[in-house]
Amino acid sequence: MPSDTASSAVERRFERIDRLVTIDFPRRGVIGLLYEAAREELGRPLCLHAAEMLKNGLSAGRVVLIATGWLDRPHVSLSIAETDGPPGAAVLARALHVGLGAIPVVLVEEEILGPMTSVMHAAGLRCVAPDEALMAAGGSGALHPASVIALPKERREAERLAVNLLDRLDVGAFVAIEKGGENRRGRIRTSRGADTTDALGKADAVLEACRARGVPTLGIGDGGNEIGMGLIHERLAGRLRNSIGSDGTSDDGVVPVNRTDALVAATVSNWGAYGVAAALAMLLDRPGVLHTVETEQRILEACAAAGFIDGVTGYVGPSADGLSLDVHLNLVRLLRTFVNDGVNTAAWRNYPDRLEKLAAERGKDAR
Amino acid sequence: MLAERQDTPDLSLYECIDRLLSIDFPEREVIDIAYRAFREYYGLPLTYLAARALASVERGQLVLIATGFVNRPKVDTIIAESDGPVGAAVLARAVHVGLGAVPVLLVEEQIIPAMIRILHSCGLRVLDLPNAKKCADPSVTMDAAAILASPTDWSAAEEQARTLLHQESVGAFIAIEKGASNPQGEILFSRGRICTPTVGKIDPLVRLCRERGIPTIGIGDGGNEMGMGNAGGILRTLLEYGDPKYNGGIVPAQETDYVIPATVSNWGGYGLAAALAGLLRNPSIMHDEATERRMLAASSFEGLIDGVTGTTGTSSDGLSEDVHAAIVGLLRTLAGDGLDDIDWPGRDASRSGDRS
Repeated sequence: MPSDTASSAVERRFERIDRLVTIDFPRRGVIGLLYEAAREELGRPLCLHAAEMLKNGLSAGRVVLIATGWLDRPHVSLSIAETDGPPGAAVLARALHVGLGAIPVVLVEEEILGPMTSVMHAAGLRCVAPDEALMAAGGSGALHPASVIALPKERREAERLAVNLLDRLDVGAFVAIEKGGENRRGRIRTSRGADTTDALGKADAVLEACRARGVPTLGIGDGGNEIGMGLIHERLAGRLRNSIGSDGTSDDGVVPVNRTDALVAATVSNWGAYGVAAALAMLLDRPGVLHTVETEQRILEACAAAGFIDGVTGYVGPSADGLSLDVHLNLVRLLRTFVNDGVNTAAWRNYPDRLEKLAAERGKDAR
Repeated sequence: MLAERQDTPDLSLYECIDRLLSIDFPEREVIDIAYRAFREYYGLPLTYLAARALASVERGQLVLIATGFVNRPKVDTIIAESDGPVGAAVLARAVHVGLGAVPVLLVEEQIIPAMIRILHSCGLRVLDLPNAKKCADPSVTMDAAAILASPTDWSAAEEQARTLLHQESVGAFIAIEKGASNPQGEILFSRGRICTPTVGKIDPLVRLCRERGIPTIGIGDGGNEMGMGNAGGILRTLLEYGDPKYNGGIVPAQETDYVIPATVSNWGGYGLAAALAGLLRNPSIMHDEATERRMLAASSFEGLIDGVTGTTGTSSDGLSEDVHAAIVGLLRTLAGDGLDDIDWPGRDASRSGDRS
């Protein structure tokens, strides 16, 4: 009984992250459904679940594969991608490096290798080739390395890359952030239901290879069509817009089919990644694992400088999903209170009556 | 008026506001309990219900806003906290800008100087009540508020309440972070200590407003404030210090018509302003981050303390100035500022119609 109370107290602390990153600021009307479904499926706070999985899978020198990137104006040019995804990937890469010593290897379409690299640099990680990143971990001079490599659009090539990576590197976890997932027919759909399979790198190939080898996997999304949502495919079928395809089943709808071990649904996919970083920082009790407001600003400005567009407004700028820079900065500012930055929880805790209560609880736990 | 409300309104905005106000950033472990209990009882977003009641106020009517907590009485009764007055100023501004109402603040005498400076920081000139009333006329082009001293003596408070309601046209009453009497006639701090003598008494005013059908709203964060006794005093059994063994329990006896429990009482005021902005489709009803920082600085200059840490800095309730500014920024976003008009596939056309 005491342990139940203890675990629910822990969960309440982490629940706050979930609640913040799922407020429907753009009033898109989808996140409530996605979050409830994911929460029912996993039975505990989503960011906590994801962060614990990553903490268990990764340690110093181990590799985390992070797939992201959405080429979202393919009828114009394959070089155009959106600002939701890359910042989340960079923030989580940074958190996993700072917190666990992991080596992040980010997988994006070859057209956006350069832009993604710029975003990683804005987050503080120097991008080099994967083998070089491994060497940097053991070298004498301080360097915080990461790698950005091309994720093929061709399924077979992506499968070969996955095998190659898993053979060569000590992969401890796989994460997909705002990455289109394949439905049962192997098609990747936009949230509006359009077929965008040809434009995107096939992250499902990497996901499947990781699962086959028991590597823990996490998907982060905001619309229902991203990798990770396969975990709640049945719960979304018929309830999410465009989840049913032309054949009357969910086989060719927007919801992917592959399952992951963890799933984070957030109002903006980037925020889901920030939430996982915050949860990891809380688990490790290291505020520095979560990026700062200043870094957030640098990252979003780097996105704009690199030509990423806001997928909703279509403008190049430091906004994401139609939400201006300030909104993202304010969100990060509030997330930072969860790592005791800007909040004096000690003052509440140190009230004499509360100290007595805590001491009594500790006594109970000891028994 | 009625026709507007016939079709089921989209309440997602108010759900978002409620959610943002009720995340337990400081880990005080009250808000989860209080919000859930009241939300279950009222059934709809709490900021929506309160804003809807407030929106019934007519131009030129008074909106009475009671606040102020003298919270180190053992040291000196001049010491009061910044949580409350800032939210009250935001609401004063909101009802003036949004409704053309005359905001009248009720605070303990010694808090009046601080309240003046905060209202000035918020854009409202403090005037005597007769002059403040002139400013309800938009052609006067003057943003103003009035302040009345709130008596700590029960009979003086009763007398003031009767006179006010007899002489003035009062459209609504709001209490924000305002202690109220428990069933034993004592006003308590949130952890059960008695502070009855130092608190301006507003219970009679609330009772008389309700008798006259004037909508009353209570905003609080600890369980001991006016409004927290709502839903039949349900918090009495849910909060640790609601237990009568603590000097009769912290939960007030007098109920208000509506309640907004928030993580920080000021935020409840901001949330109500944001909800009113949403309801009236006028984002300028909600104050901005620069104004927020100015008000917190004014609180500091006037010696109001952070009630948790005991410092006169710009923090409030143990949370730094930046945290309050971030909350204000996000509420402004919800109220319609800083959000590009978006054509999400899942959303019906009603929202774009929301925007002018």
